[in-house]
Amino acid sequence: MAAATDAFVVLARVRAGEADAARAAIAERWERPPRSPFAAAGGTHLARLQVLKPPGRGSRECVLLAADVDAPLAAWLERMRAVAATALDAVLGHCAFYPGASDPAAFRRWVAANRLPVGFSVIGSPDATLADVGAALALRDELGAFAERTQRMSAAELHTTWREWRDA
Amino acid sequence: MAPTPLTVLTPVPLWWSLWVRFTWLAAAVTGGLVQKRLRGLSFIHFAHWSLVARWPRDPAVSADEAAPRTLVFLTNFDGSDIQYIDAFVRVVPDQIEALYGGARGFPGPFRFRPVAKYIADHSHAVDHFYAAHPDATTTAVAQALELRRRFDDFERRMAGADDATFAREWEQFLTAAQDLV
Repeated sequence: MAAATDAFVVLARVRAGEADAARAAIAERWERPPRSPFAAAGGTHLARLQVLKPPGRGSRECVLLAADVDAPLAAWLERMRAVAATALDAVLGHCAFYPGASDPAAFRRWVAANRLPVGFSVIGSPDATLADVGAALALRDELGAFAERTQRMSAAELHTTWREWRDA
Repeated sequence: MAPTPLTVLTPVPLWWSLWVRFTWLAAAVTGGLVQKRLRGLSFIHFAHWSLVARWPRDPAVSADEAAPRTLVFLTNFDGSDIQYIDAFVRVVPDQIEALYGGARGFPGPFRFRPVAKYIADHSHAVDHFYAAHPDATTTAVAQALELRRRFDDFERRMAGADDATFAREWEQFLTAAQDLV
């Protein structure tokens, strides 16, 4: 069975002298808003964005964008490009040869050129989409509440209350 | 509590990068046995390892000769990084050795403090982190998914059941699933 999630990792070099501006853009466009642009794309389980310096003296800083998302990855990437274009451009615009998110084909080519393949993964719940996880967590809460409020009911009352809950 | 993100970049020599690729191939051939053991730690949401042979990867950009081959480790987990590293050192030292044994300066996988210092020295601050369900631990997610699977089965079986049968089966279901609710 194909995994329900895909891993996405992009590592792109920041243009000389623009690392602090990229960090400031992350703070302004990704950290400050009440809702992360990652949430807007839908299907994002976990994601991170950071500016980092590769090991090695004198090496140049890079932007790392990584996410664990519902498969297929291409669909998520297109949603991300469409709904978070401004936020993406604000950060990735400091990276070498970034074409901007307004041109879908150029954006995809740039991502492909800078994408880092994942060699080995461990995934907590590999068969679950974000919707599966959300539905399961919601059901757990509803089920707990139902069990609590139906304690000491007669069989007929319990069954009627169950039908009302499930038909609601 | 939201999961903790960790980004660790470890420089590795060429020969070790080849070995690491071989271990990944071997792990793939074993059909997920290695992953199963690591998943058994039950606090890993996602963990990924990648190798960077050339910084940056984009061939349109001139290569960064100062940056060495690097093992990239990205993970999100429940709890603190101290608990995470401690569990790795105690439970899967062999896997750590297989991945990091030849990494530059790696102190060996068997003692917590040197490993924790090594990771601290090679980790990079995450500027922005997002979790769709920040309050759900890995265990909570796994239990909720299992509960849903059992519940779907229960609901199917109860279609058309009379009151007495439903009440009896409901009690049995709740008793069996009480640790998951």
